[in-house]
Amino acid sequence: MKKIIHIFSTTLIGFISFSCEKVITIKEKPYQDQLSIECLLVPGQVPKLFLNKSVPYFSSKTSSADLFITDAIVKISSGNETDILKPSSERNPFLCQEEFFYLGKIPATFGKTYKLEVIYQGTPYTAETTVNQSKPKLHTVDYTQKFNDVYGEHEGIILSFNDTQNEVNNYRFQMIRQVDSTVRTANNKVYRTECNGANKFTINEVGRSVYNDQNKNGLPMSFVIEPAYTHKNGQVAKVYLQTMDSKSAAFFDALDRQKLATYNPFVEPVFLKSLIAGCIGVFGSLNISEPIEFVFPE
Amino acid sequence: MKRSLKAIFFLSIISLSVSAQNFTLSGYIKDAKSGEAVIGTSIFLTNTKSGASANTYGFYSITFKANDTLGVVFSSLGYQAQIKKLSGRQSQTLNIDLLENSSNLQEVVVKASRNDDNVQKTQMGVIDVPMKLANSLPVVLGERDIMKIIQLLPGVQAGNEGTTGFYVRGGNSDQNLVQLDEATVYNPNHLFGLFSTFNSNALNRVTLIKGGFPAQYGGRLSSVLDITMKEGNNKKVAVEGGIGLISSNITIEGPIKKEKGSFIVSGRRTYVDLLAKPFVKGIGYTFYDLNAKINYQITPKDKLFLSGFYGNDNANYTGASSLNYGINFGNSTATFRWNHLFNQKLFANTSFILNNYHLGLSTIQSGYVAQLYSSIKDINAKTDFEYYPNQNHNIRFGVNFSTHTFAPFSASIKIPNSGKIPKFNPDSLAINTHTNELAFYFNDEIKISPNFSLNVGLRVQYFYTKDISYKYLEPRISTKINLNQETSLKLSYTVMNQFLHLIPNSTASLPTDIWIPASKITAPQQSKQISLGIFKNFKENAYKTSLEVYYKDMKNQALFKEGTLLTQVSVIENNLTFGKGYSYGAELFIEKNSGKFNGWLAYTLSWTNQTFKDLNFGKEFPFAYDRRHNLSLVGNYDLSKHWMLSGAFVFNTGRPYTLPVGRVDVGNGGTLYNGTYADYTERNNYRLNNFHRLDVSAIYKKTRQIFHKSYESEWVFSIYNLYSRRNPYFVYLSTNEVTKLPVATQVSLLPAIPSVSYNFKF
Repeated sequence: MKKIIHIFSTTLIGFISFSCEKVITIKEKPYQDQLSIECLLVPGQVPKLFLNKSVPYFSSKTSSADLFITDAIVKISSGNETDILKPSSERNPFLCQEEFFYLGKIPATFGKTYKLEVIYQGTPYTAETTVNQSKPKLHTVDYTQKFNDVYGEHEGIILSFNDTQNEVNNYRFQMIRQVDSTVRTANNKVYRTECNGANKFTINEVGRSVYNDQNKNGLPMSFVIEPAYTHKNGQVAKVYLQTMDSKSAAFFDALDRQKLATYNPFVEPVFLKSLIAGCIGVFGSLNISEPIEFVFPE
Repeated sequence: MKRSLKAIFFLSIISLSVSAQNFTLSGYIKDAKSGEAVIGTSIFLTNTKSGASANTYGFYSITFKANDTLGVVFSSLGYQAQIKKLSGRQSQTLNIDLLENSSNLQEVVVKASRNDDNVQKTQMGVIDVPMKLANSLPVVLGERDIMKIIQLLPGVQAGNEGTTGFYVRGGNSDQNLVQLDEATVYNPNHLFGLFSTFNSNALNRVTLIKGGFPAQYGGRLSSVLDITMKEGNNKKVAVEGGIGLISSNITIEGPIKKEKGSFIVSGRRTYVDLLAKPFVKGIGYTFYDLNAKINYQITPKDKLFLSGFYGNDNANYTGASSLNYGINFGNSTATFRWNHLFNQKLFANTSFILNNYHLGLSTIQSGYVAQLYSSIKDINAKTDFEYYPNQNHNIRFGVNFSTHTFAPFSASIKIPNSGKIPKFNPDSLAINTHTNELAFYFNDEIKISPNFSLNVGLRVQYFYTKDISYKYLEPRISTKINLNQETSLKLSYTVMNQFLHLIPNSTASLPTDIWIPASKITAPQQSKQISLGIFKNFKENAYKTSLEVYYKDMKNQALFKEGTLLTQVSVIENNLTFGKGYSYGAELFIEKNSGKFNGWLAYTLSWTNQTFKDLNFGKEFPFAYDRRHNLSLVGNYDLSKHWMLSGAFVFNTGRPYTLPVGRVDVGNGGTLYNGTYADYTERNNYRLNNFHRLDVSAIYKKTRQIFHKSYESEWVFSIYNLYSRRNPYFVYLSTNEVTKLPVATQVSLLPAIPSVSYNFKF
């Protein structure tokens, strides 16, 4: 009996191992690519519209150049005024690649209603929005070394402001700052800034979560955001508060929950419902506050 | 409907009226060593080739026509059969003490003890779980678990790997009525479902009913798991215990007054918290459970029982870079029962039952602490009558009234600057919802001819709250035609209603289940099930086989709407969406339960789909636990006087899960949504890899001496997942933040896990 226990104990130690994760290859299902349109009009700014083709989920096509649709007709009109948007691009220095979009010439005007028409391979896609979000006013920007959310414990930037009275608002965070090639993404510490050498470059962060002003009419509000990139003590950033229309907010909120569902077991998977018939996407309006300069304390 | 009820009534009257000038044999059947009721013992009259079964309390009654002599065989699995010759010209009471089988019995005795209830009884879809086998099969970390055996039966799908959750014939886990001494146990799990709350040392009998429900059962759509606790040894004090890797248990039982009354107390506690403390930071976990029961026979016709159960789990996880959760959940039940024998033909049981279930989940998020709380308190009173008027009828009727108090509660508070996390008192903050259920039932098992019998019943269900009421008639019909002595064909049709929903989260693996009652918004769940089966035994009932096919239609199923974040839900019903489902399939069961080698093969081929208006664009999709093939092979071999070997192999088709099929580039670059978002086109459109696993165990038994007294000892060596198959637990997606390439990662939970435990019995 003792011998058996000895053999068993040895086997036990030999067998003990732990649960594991492994990257697997998913056999892809047939997928019919779709048109993706993303455009939020900002008062005083010329329209910028992202027009891409969706690809099978595990496709190796990832760059903007691979996905951008160049041969569409894109028109944004209000009354008798029509702006025909043309393909354009700008450098994304963090990813070291060009990003492509359609750019207009006529700045959006507060209070006007705009009609979007995209014609691609003979098929028209249309949507409409009114630019009616008042410019929000950001009061203060603070920093906390740690706050907890469902992703764990993080540092955070705290935005405080008063809700705009008698208006439905959906707030979002934006931050622009100059960084150098030591910058990394906050979560996974990855980096692809070798193309920038010793030069400083600008990164633009937009918050994933959208905060609704329900039951807050005119009252003080605040929210905490985890910065998307690493920072250094004394680094200066410009922080903005965005507000968008409810339909656009619903779209971005669905994206947020969709992303959350991939990490958080408490969130149901989200199937997107497009705001533009026949394709995936959003056409809405956005307004942006004046920036507050913020210095990272650590 | 009315026409069928009239026909049932008419048949009953005719059949009752032809019974005259008969005698009755009745009594109790008990275990000779412990005095425990031997539930389900088969009583067979050799003259008339007719039979009966002992009920939950070991009582039997059988009526026969006058004869010079009467031959009676009493048989039950695991016991030596007893054959009696009695006078056939008088009614009489005969109590029987059955002796346990030993493994080296003569084969002829074993043959005699084999009953053929599976062929002869009208009811179908019923499986009595062999407790002896349950104690020898290999399990995770050496914890014996009756719920794991349930998962190996035909028609039953296991939930996530290692968990005790089960899904019967396409029904959700809330559609299983789990009863311990008639008290509902809402969450029969410990340790995130890795172990059940049932301590197998304290259990007498476990029966699973998955179709053809008799009318005494109601309130759930898919199955009834009826668990009866032991009464306690009424002949001598006995102690039984076990020491395992993560928990230990002890059971003490004995007479209060010899052969009049007895008690049993059984407790279990984990020490996983103490073992893990030096190695793991930020995790706390404990569970324990306690079973107790006393009984006393106050007159020859009256017996009282009082039983209780208490189990609780407490877990918390505080990670610096992950989720912050705390969970506390538990069940407690108390059952008082009074058996009364009016006469040899009429037996009654009256029960008063209390039970209490609670689940608290707290989470910290964005500087706020949120608490989700759900509790159910039930008070239940019921009386059940069993009437055996003649050999052609077995009538059951009764009434059941229960009140449920639901206290779902959700709140969040900002964490103050001091950092001290505020505490909630759910009892004072939850808004209670009271519901009531009243049910009447009548059920008659009618023997129309030697080869044809019917089991007909009707349950009347009335559910009401201060806002709404629902009334339903639930017909239950089963028929059996004997093709020959060893073969029968059965058909059943049942209608069931369920007045509460458990809202499962499709992806959560933590016990975040929330129970809500039917209401104006949430209609009761309903099902209609039809099943057909052929039952055949071979080699004098040494091999029992069955093939059942079924179709089940389910209405008013509930799921969360897309994107619902559980801890941010304040009014649960506003976040639900309702739909329907159906399931159909075939179940093959081959069982050998005698001899040195015993075990079974269970194979299920099934399809289950659901349709919800607000999910999957309104299109049909596979149920979360829809598995096409489900195979279990279970074996047990008595190698020698001391050694016993066991093994269990399972194979399941991978369960469905949802993955996007398209990817969209996000404008504005940067890290917003990791640069991409997903285009989902279909829910549950992918399947995890197939699941298969082999578990083995070896048991060494020996009678030993301590202080000149002998006791039985048992070493149990087992290996869960012998070949360390990395079975998929779930798959998650991530995106490389630089390349934007999506990555799918499969998480496997339980590799090969050897364990050893030691059991003793004085």
